[in-house]
Amino acid sequence: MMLTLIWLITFLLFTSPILAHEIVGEVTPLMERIKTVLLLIENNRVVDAVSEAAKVINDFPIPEKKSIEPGLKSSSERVDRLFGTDLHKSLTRSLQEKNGEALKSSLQTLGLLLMLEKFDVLQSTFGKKEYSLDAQRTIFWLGRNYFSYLLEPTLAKTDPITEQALDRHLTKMLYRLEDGKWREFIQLRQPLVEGIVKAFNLTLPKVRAGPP
Amino acid sequence: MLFFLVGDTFAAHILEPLGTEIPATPPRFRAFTQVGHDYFRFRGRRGERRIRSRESVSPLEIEFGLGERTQLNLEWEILWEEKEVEKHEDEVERVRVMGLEEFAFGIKHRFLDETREIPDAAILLEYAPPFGLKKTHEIGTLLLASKNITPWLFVPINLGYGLENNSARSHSLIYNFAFMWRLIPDVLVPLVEFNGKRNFQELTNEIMAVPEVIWVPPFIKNVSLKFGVPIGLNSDSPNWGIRFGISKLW
Repeated sequence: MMLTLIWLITFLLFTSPILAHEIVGEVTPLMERIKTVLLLIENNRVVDAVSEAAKVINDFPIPEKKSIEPGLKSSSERVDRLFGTDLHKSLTRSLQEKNGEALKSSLQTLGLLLMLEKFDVLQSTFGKKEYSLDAQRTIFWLGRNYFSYLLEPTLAKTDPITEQALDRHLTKMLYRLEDGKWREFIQLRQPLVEGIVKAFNLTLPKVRAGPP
Repeated sequence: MLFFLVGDTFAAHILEPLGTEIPATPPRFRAFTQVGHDYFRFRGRRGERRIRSRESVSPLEIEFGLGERTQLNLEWEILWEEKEVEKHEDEVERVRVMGLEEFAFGIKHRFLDETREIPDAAILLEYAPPFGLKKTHEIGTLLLASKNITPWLFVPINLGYGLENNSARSHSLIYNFAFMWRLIPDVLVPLVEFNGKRNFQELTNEIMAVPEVIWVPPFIKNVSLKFGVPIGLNSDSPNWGIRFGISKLW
């Protein structure tokens, strides 16, 4: 009883599951599930992580939202089509082999590519008057949240110097967007990708700098 | 247990120690505020005189991000001080002071970004006009640096110089540094900071060690709570004190 109470107090005082580095806007149910899987792997609970990931491999319902959310399969197939990657295959292999490191790497790559997918959408609005700056900011944050929510907390623990540099790089991209300096925004995208790939030791073919 | 202790990350500003500035600046057009209260107690001798004093200072600090690397600083300090000075064996002078001790404003600019080799670094220029209890102009400059020594150890350092335009043109050297242990990164940070001030006119050298803790509660966004216990390290410094503060990034 006492231990439960101590655990509960510790949980309430020192965890922040709903807060992350400057999360603005939506954290999707898939992001939440991916984060759970990543945390389980970081804590050497690979079997639990694989079982959690398997639950969301297919599109899954969210009864509270009365919606069907895209699962890992459809999301990875979508980014494979967009960026010419082979993510779905490596994700499936890591789950079959119950390989925690490979699963972690696949999910981090998925997070990065989902961010770039949003940046593609954002870049396709550049110069179009029907998109307000507020709308563009919203799209930017939907992309940035993948970094802030899924990748940044891990980096903050292992390499705060790189974490701070990438965070400032993303802030710089936001300022360029707000100032309407779209060319500079696009120029900053490639170093960001390279920085994340290097920081997480991901294997990723060179991805294009904008929408196809 | 560790699984649940994994915290998410927050902007650096709310993790600033109470007495040592960090070079990081708030995001553009956003404000960082910190309100606090410092209490110091001194019992001892200054020269031939025996002194007993209790001092409370309530600082309010507002930092506003002007650009990618520049911020505007505004600072108020309200002082309450009660002092007993033994003039002769049977004569004690009692002094009570209360009011706005200082209003200062300034600009901070970060000119170096941390890499593996170099630290974050910034310069702060401040001016305090004669206002409230303060009867003279004062200008000051502070050089700020910080470095992540390991993923768990963060060290900010300040070195500053202040010049007061009183009859004696008193000037002082300010030095602060802290060792911050990122126990639960961006959630719970115990630290010890050292705050020093050498006054060249009064020939005093105040130096305090402050064991401190910064906690980011999970239920309020972008807020941190700070608590420290300053301990005087020499006879020029208060014997001990209590310090606390609340910071928020808006």
